[in-house]
Amino acid sequence: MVDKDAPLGSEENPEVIDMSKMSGADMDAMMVEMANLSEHIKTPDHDGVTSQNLPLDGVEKDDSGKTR
Amino acid sequence: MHESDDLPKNPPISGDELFMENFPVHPMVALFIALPLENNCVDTEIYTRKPDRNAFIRSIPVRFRDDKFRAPGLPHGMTGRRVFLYLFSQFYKDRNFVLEQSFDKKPFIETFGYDVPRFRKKHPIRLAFYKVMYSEVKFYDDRDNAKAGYSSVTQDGASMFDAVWQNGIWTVKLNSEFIFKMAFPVDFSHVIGTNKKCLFWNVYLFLVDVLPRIPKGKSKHISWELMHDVFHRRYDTIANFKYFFTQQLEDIFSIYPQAKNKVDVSDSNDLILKYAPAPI
Repeated sequence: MVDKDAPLGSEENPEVIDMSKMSGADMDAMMVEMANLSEHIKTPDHDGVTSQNLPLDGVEKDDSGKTR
Repeated sequence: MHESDDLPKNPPISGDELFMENFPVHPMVALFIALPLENNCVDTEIYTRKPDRNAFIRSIPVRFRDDKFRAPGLPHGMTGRRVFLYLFSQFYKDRNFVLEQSFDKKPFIETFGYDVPRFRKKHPIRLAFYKVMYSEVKFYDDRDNAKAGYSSVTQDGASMFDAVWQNGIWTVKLNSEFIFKMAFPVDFSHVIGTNKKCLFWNVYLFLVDVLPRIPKGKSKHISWELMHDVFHRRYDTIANFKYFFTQQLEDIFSIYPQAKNKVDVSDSNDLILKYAPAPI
């Protein structure tokens, strides 16, 4: 349960990411980042990149889906 | 050998059974109805009219490198509901259903019933899908540890799905450990083909869940006060809620004709329901 009295950004009261204001590419990048930080969504190793070393601010795609 | 008097004679063993001792709908139906209508809500909770027995769905907070926790927010509105209706429908047809979808292709949008000409990378259904994948459900029951014979459901089975994201492909299947029923006889072709809003589908899912479970020849009475709770007390008064609920019925009967004449709203105290087969 969210504790509104807890500091904003704590586990009990997380900030909400307003993805509706992001571009499609940014949304994808954010999801990749979250997937690598979360135990809930599993991201197996691929292309030599592991969830431990994937740069958090990398993996940005343009609208064609290509990594840039 | 006699059973201990401390043991309940017919102990409920599932989260669904515990939840439904005091509530007329399955917990996932209750949570579906309680999903927010607007963006940026982190969680929502259902009390089952018993102290300390509640279920809630929340957006999973993730710790970022700046040590702050962030969450994408709960699935909301019609797009969030459409993802759930799709999954309810698929898991009803096949418990082992596996969704394999790329976000970068039109079929993903089409899967959820949106038109290709309206396809765009940042489609709201993609956002809704993310949010569903990043939601968890928990159930708290104060008797859980108090009585022998009950399986522990608290804290377990929070993840609804086993979801893997690999090389741009999502593979999603039902988490076999998940505590609540996730399969309901939703006719998804009507979800696609009927331009109705959240509140309509809330009533539809309620009827689809409840009517097929009523024994043939029997009636089920649910007080309007409890119905107001089931529908998350979104209306100021029970009279307002009853008016809204009744307003939806004729349109629902057009896509769920088996329910016609099985829903009696004429009694001032109770909604009276009779058996109707599932729509699919």
